[in-house]
Amino acid sequence: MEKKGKITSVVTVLVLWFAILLCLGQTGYAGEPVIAIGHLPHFTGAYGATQAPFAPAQEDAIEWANSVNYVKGAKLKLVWVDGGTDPSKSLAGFKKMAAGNPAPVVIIGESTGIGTALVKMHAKAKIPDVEGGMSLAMIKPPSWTFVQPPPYVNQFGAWVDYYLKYIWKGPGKPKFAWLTWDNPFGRSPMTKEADLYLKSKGIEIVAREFIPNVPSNTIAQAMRLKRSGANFTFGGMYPSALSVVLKDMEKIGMTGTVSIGMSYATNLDELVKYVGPLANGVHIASIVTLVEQWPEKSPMVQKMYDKKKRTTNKWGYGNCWSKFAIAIEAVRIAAEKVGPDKVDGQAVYNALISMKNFDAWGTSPPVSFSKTGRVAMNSVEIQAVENGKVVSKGYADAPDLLPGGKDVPK
Amino acid sequence: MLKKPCGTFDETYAQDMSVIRTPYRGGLLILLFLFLFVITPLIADNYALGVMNLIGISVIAMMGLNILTGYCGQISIGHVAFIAVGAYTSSILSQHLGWPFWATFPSAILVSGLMGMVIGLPTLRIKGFYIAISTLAFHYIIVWAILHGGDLTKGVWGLPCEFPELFGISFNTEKKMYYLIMILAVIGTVLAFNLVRSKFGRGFVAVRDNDIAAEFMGLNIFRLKSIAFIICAMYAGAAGSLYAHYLGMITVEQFPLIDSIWYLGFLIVGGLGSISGAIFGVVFYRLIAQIVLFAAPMISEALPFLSVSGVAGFTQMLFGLVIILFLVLEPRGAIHRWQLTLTSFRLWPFPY
Repeated sequence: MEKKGKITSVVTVLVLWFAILLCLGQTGYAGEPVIAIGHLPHFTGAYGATQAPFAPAQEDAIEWANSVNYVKGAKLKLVWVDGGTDPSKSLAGFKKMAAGNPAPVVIIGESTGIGTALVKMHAKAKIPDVEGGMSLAMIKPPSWTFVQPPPYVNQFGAWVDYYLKYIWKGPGKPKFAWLTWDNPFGRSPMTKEADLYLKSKGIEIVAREFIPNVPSNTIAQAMRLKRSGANFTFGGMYPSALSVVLKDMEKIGMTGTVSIGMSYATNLDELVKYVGPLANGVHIASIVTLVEQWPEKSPMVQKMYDKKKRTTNKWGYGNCWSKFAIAIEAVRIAAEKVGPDKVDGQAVYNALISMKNFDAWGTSPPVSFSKTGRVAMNSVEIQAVENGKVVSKGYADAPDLLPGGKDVPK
Repeated sequence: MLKKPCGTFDETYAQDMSVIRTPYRGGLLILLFLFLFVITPLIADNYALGVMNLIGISVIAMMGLNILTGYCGQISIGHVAFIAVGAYTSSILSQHLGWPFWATFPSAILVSGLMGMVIGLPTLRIKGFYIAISTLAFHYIIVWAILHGGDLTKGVWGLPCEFPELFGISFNTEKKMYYLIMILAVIGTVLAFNLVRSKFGRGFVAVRDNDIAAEFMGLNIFRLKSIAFIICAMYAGAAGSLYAHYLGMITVEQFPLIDSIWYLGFLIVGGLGSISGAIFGVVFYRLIAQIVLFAAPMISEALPFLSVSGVAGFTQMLFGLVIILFLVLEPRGAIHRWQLTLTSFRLWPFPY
C-alpha cells in the first residue's frame, strides 16, 4: 500500500512538472511583439533522414536572429509541425499553424510535392511560403510561394555551361547522358527545354539511365552508359544512391571516364564518406555555401553550430539556415516598413517581392524576388570533389530553362 | 451498424430491412445530423473544419476499401492509386477541357470504376496474397503513367484543379467545402450501408467467408469480386476528385503507397466489414495524426534536451503502436469493443 502511494506521488509530481513545462513553453515574450515564423519540415517519412539536420537548424537560426535583435522591436518565435512526408498530415499541419496564436507570418516549406499541394492554401490564407522544393505551379503568380532553389532544369543548364567551358577539351562535341533517380525529383530536370538546350549546343543525348530509389545493383545501367560513350551526365540523386552507381562503375573500369554532374541535393561530404576516392570528379550545382567557407561567409552559422555542439550533417544544417535567412530577412523588411507590431502575411509578401540580391547570410548564392519572379536564385555554386575534398569552383549562372524561359532555344 | 437490442422483434420484412429500427437509433441519427450539419460549422474554426474535411474525404475512400476488403475479403494495397485516378481525371477535365465540378466528379467516379474493372479481371485466376500484389503493381503503373503523361498530367510538375462550383456557388472556403464533402460522405455511407444489405452485399460476405462454398451455392464469384473492385474504385475515385478540387493542386507525390497501407491498417482498427467500423477507423486515424502534430512540437519545446526529429519520429510510432495493440487485443476492431460495451450497458446490472 505504502509502495503504491509512493508511486502515485512520483507520477503526480512528474505529471505536474510536465504540465508546468508545457505552460512555460506557451509563454510569450513580455513587452515586445512576438512574430511567429512557421516551418513545415518532414522529420519522418521518406524525407526524414535528409531533413533531420533541419531540426537543430530551425532552432539555431531563430535563436541567433533574436540574440542579435535582427528584427528590431520584435521577438521571433518558431512554430513547426512535422509533415511526415505526407500531404494530408502536412495540410492539417499547415492549417494548425495558420490557426495558431500567434499565426505565422511566413511558413518555410520543405517539399516539392507538398509545397505544390499547398500553393492555393498559402494564397488563400495570405501566408507566404519560402519553399525548399520547386515546381512550375509554385512560381506562377499570383502564387504566394517563393522558392529557394533554382529549378532543377536550370541547375542542369548551369552544369552544361560549366562543363563546356571548363572541363570539355574536345575534339568535337561531347556526348551527354541522363543518369538520375527514377522518381519525380530525379526526373524533374528532364524536360523538353533541357533537350532543346543540349541540341542548341550541338550535344547529342546518348543514354537515359534511371536508378531505383534504393539501388542494390546498377551494373546494367553503368554498362549501357559505358557503351553509349557518354562524356558527361546529369541527374538528381541522394549520395547513398549515387555511391552504389560509383562502386558499380568502378567494377567495370569506368571510374574517371565520365564527368558526373548532379543537382544540389547530392551532399558531396556524405558521398566522400561513402565511397572515398571514387567520388573524385563528381560535381554538383549547389545552392548551399561550401561548409569549409562558413567561417568566412556565414560566421553566424559556424558560431551556432559550434556553440550548440551540433553533430548533425552540416550541409543540411546550412541549407535550412538559408531558407530561414530569407524568411527572417523578409520579416525584418516588413517590420521596418509597417512596424514590428503590424507585421502580417501581406507585409511579408510585399517584403519578399521587393527582395534584391540578399546574401542569405552567406549561406547561398544571392537571392532576389519580384512580383513575377518567384525563384530566389539565378546562379548556383559549382562544387566538386577533388582529391577526396569538396571544393568550390565558383558561382555559375543558371540559365532560365523553364517553359517559356528567356534562355530556352527557339 | 448497431446490433438490435434484446427484445426488439420484427413482424414484417419491411421492419427487418429498415434502417431506423429503434427509437434509440433514430435519436442517435438525429444527433449525428445535428452535430455534422449544425453544430460543427457553427463552432469549428478553419483548422477544425480542415480536419473534418480530410475525415470526410477519407470516409468516402474508406467506404470503398471496406466493401472490397472488409466485406468481399479481397486485399487491395493499391487503393491510393484509385484515388489518384479520380484526382487526376478531375484535374485533367477541369484544367484541359474546362469542365465544371458537376461533370468532373461523376467522370472521375466513372474512370476510376473502369480502372477497378480492369484490375478486377485478374481475380478470375488469382486470389488472396496474389491479388494484393497485383494491386501493388497497379499502384506503380498509375504512378508511372502520371509521371510520363506529358502535357496531360504535367508529369512531375503537378496539375492545378479549380475549386468546385455548383448552382453558382463557389466552394472556395473551408466551411462551404465542409458542407459539400459531408453531404457526399453521408450519401456515400448510406449507399454503402444499403449495398451491404443487398444481395450483392450478402454475396460479398459469402465470397469472403468461403469462396468455394459460395461458388457451390451458385454465386458467380468472379462477377462479385469484379463488382467489389469496381465499387471500391468508384468510391476512391469520388474521394480523389473531391481531394483534387479541395486542394486545388495535385502532384504524384500526394499519392504515396504508404497511404494505402494506412487505410488498410485503420480499417482493421475500426473493424473490418462494418460501416461504422470504417468510419471509426478514419476518425481515429485522422485524430491520432492531429495528436501527433500537436504533441511533437509541444514535447520538444517543453523538453528541449530531447532531439526534435527524435520526438517527431517517436510520436509517429503511435500509429504503428495503435495498429499492433488492436491486432493483439481486439482484432475485430474498435467497433466490436463498442458493441460489447453497449451490450453490457443494456444488460446492466446483470453480467450476461
